[in-house]
Amino acid sequence: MIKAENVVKLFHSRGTTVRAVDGVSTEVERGEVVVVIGPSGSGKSTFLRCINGLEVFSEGHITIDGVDLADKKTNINKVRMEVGMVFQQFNLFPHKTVLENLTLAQRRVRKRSKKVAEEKAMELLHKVGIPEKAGEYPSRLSGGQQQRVAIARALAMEPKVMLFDEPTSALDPEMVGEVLDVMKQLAREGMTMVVVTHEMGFAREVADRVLFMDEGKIVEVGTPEHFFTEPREERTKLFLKQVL
Amino acid sequence: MNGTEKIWPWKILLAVILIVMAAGIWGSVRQIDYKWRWYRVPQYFFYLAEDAQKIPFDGTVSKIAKDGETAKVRLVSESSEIVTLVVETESLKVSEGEELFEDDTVGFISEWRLGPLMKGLWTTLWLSAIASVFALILGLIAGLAKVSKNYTLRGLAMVYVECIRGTPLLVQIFIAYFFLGTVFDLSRNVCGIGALALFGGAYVAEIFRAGIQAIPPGQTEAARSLGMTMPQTMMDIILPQAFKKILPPLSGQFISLIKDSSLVSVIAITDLTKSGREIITSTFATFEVWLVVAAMYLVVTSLLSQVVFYMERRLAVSD
Repeated sequence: MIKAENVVKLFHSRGTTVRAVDGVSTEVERGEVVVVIGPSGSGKSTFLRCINGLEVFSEGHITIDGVDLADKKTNINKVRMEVGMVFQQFNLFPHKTVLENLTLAQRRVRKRSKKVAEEKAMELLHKVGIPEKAGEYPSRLSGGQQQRVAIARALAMEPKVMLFDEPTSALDPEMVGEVLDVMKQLAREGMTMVVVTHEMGFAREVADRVLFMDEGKIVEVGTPEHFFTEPREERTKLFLKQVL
Repeated sequence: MNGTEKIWPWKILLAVILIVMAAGIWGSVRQIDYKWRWYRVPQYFFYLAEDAQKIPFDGTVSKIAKDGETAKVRLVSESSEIVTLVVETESLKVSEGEELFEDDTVGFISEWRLGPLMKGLWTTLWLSAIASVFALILGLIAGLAKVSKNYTLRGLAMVYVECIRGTPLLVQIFIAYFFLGTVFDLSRNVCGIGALALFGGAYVAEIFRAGIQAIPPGQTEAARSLGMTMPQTMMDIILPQAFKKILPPLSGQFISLIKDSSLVSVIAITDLTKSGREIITSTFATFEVWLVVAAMYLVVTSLLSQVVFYMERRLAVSD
């Protein structure tokens, strides 16, 4: 589904070059849930953003469903239709109601009729458990509700892959659960997911595979059992000791 | 600020200060020899025009049909042409059977007309309205160019904004009229509106740029991640939000434009300011006319502020 080969992302600032992502190679199978963990600044979010072209990587290749992102002829908007993304800060459109947030891209990009788009939107709002908020503006919703709307918004495009960039990090603790529940349900339904998170419980419960990144590199890969019980690398052990 | 502080003593103080200032001005005016003639002013807003109705040929009055206030006068020429004129009964100057020569006055029709102040105000309003629309379009284009990734577009927008903001509007109007107007054979109205639009557009461009840049990058990222193109993202996501943010400075700019439009009077466009000056040359009521002209600008700009205030409240529903 997703294949990354030796991906490098360089940031240039004031004469210095930072290798934010430094030669990452991995593969994500259809229906697989991959959780990426690592300390802040390890390049995990940057790598995730490379997958849907929000960051243009400097070297290497990423192919999604056979489409090469590094190919100049690739229409990135076509790729993004198939790759949903959920952000740490939700990024709902504040000037549009919840329903409009869910229907806008369906209508503009998928060219669906208003009726079809709204039916899809309501179906997804039921799925994330807040159909009664359809007419509200995002500012009237709690953080957890906003993030569930953001997930529904991404799902409305019927993507093949969902990317989550620290989806619970900006939430009050009591709201983390409701968002994770929606994500767990998605995983059970067989959605292909790449999740950058600090929620070790989620990683242990849902992940098929865990990637540990540090300083732009994948340090260790493994099943959750392996990862949380018998990590090989010293850096992984140190990190897990700090977060668990 | 604590909520229990009483506001009425300060209201009284404000009123006292304003009254003292007004009295001071009044006292100073009394010192000089100026005869106030306010009664001369109203006629420059509206006046009753009396139009003489004249016979277009040599002939006779064949019939007069009085119908209350007005009277229909039927006139027959020597070659049996018939013309019917309507005049006010009171102003009727002829009687049935009377012989008249061409251009003799049969009577009068009086009508309320707009005086020079109202006509000038109208000119100022439509001039400003058209200039505002073009300023908005120009400003949007230049503002988008300023945040563009393309170096050439950014450069063009920068040159435009810097040239306009670095030179006085009065000089720009002179250039527009005496230089561009002559070269391209443009009318004074086109030059005046063009200069105002270009001038306003440069400031509007900066307002748009600031408004667009004030929208968090996450908004663009969210829209793009859904597969929306950059133009779609601009139209549906960025500009609607930016517009809401820039409404106050934008309205300030348009209020400025209405006031700045008074400068087009220098190229002989009869706007409110030029009308005022013309009235003064015939009445010498300098003080009264300028005070009235200022008040008229103030009424227009205050109304516009109110409209914007109302729009802001309407747009605030999603906050």
